[in-house]
Amino acid sequence: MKKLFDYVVVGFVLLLLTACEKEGGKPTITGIEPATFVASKTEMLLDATTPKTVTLQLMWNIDEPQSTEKIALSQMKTTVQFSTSASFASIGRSVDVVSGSVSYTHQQLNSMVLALGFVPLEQQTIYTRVVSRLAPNVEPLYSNVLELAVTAFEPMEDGDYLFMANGDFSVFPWRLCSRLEDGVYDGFVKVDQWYNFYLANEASADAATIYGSYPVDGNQYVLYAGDDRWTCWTNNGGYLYLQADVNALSWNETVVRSLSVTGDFNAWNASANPMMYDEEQQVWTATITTTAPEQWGMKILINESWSWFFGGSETEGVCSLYTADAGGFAYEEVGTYRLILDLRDPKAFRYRVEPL
Amino acid sequence: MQVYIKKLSWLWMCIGIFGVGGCKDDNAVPTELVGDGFAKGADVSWITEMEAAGISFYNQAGVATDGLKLLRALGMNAVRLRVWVDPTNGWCNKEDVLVKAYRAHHLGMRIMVDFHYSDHWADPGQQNKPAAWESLPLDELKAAVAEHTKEVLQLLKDKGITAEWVQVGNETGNGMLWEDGKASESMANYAALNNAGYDAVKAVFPESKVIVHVHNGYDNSLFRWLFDGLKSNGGKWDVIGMSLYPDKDNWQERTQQCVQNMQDMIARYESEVMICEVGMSWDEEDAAAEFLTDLIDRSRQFPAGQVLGVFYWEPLSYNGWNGYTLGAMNDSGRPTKALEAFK
Repeated sequence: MKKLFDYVVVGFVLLLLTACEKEGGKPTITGIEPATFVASKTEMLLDATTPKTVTLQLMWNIDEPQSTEKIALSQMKTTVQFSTSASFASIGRSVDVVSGSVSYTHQQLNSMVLALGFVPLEQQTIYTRVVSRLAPNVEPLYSNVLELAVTAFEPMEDGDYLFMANGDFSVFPWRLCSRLEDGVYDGFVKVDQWYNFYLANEASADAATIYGSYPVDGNQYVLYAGDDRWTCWTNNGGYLYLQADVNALSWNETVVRSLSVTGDFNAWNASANPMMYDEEQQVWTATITTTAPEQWGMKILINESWSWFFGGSETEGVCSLYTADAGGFAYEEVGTYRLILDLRDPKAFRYRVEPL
Repeated sequence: MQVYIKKLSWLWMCIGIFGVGGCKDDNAVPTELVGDGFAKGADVSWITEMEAAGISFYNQAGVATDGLKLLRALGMNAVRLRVWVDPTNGWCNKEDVLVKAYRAHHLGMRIMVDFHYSDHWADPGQQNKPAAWESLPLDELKAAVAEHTKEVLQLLKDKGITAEWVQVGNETGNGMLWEDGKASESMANYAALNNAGYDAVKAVFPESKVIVHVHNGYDNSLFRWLFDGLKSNGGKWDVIGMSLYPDKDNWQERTQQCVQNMQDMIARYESEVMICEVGMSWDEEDAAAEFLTDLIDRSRQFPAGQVLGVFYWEPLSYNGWNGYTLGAMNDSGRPTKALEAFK
């Protein structure tokens, strides 16, 4: 019996010595199968009136690989591919993902399919699949192909805006406008110093055009829309006037130190009636006392400059931004009122007068 | 002979220990997922919306990672998903819930579905009816609750997904579907609406545990008032759910009160209990870690099966997402120390 025990002990030791030995040190990986790909729906009529509503969600199941040795799963890459061709002869769009699903709002999906050549208001088909690749030197695995019928809407006429996005596109706090639709955008923003941002033609991480800065040191003010763009950033922070010229691919910033109200009521004094910035409402306000209607209207000077100010326009309640001589905006009230200047929408800088 | 048998037993025990430990598979599903049954989870209802907004989640090494896998790697084994009936932008509707449940299911995580019976947030301050249910009389309101509950759960079931726990109402300390179901106005109405949801859950998933979830888990008198009222009106539940959101200065007191409340609920109603929501400010990670560690430890000290688990509410939110600051990620989207409590 003792001999039997000795044999078992020897066997045990051999078992321990060999149990974890890997063949040639190469891991054996199992459990890799093509993904199962599922769509929340397969027919979508995109709606311009609900741009932020989720319309399509794609989900997939990729079994996690089991390995005999520790492997670098960071090498594993999953991509969702879209094509107008069932054979995926050309890939219209590839989206690298780390999650198990992707979601598209009406606006995001509309932008994507229009970029793929869809004609608005015509139902067309887009094909999608998931590609998983364990490592660069391993053949990719393809999921089932989903066929989606999508009817796009006419793009909204927001081409004259550039939306400022933060570094991860989670918020779009400000926008610039090309009021003359000439590719030169401007607007007022309030951001922290060193704020990182992009300028996108839609308020979406999936916007068709997203400008950052050119990805080489020293090109902070050079606009660049390539995938390897860097963020733009401001050295200054605070209340700023931004201009972006997408023809010249450049942008610039000017610090707004003050806004001040001038008119007959203060003998056209450039500094006597400064406006205060209301952080909560994101508007500028000043309390103004007049004894008669302003004969020449009022002007709001930027940085106390007579060559950079808000003056009159042809639209009631709107003031225009001038860099040359121009008249003031209408101000008929007599007495003490609060003047409010709203610069949030650069398409039309608005002002209003309210009783205290 | 007996000596050798003892020695062989010792030997095979060694094989067991060394055999398992020596070849640990780093890619295997964490054992906690199939562990002792205690749920360590997170409400992740925002995840798809955050991802669609371009937000990423990162592990401690700064590598962008699936948010669910990240939580699972941190020791979590369950998710909680809220359902709204017809939300404005679609997030947290039944299809969105399915997407998140599908992902969690395929990661081996357990699932709780949290019915708000509203188009938006339902909480102690608001329990608004869905717009489509506004004018329904009580009987039709009960039918709508049942239909909606079955519809959502059947959607999951059709995909092979089971909801292990289902919350009928969210933070219903004063009932739900106001004004009809306001408990302070009519406990009977609330109990009837609750039971419509309860029965609907059981019709789809007979084994699922139905939770009635109440805010302020430290407030025993609130719990006694509500559950006494439900009980006396024939209200049905399997689990009493609690929220607990202390701050860094009062978490010890609140935890103690919550544990006492759990003891009372278990004794008074012979009910299981569960911490369905917890949270603390993301930038108080040391206090949050202490609080969560203490709460989980004390929850697990109850006799097996009495306290079912602890869920952190939206730990993946960060950087002021929707103005919420009680997540458990730092400004860079990496988990804070607070989540170490779930390991």
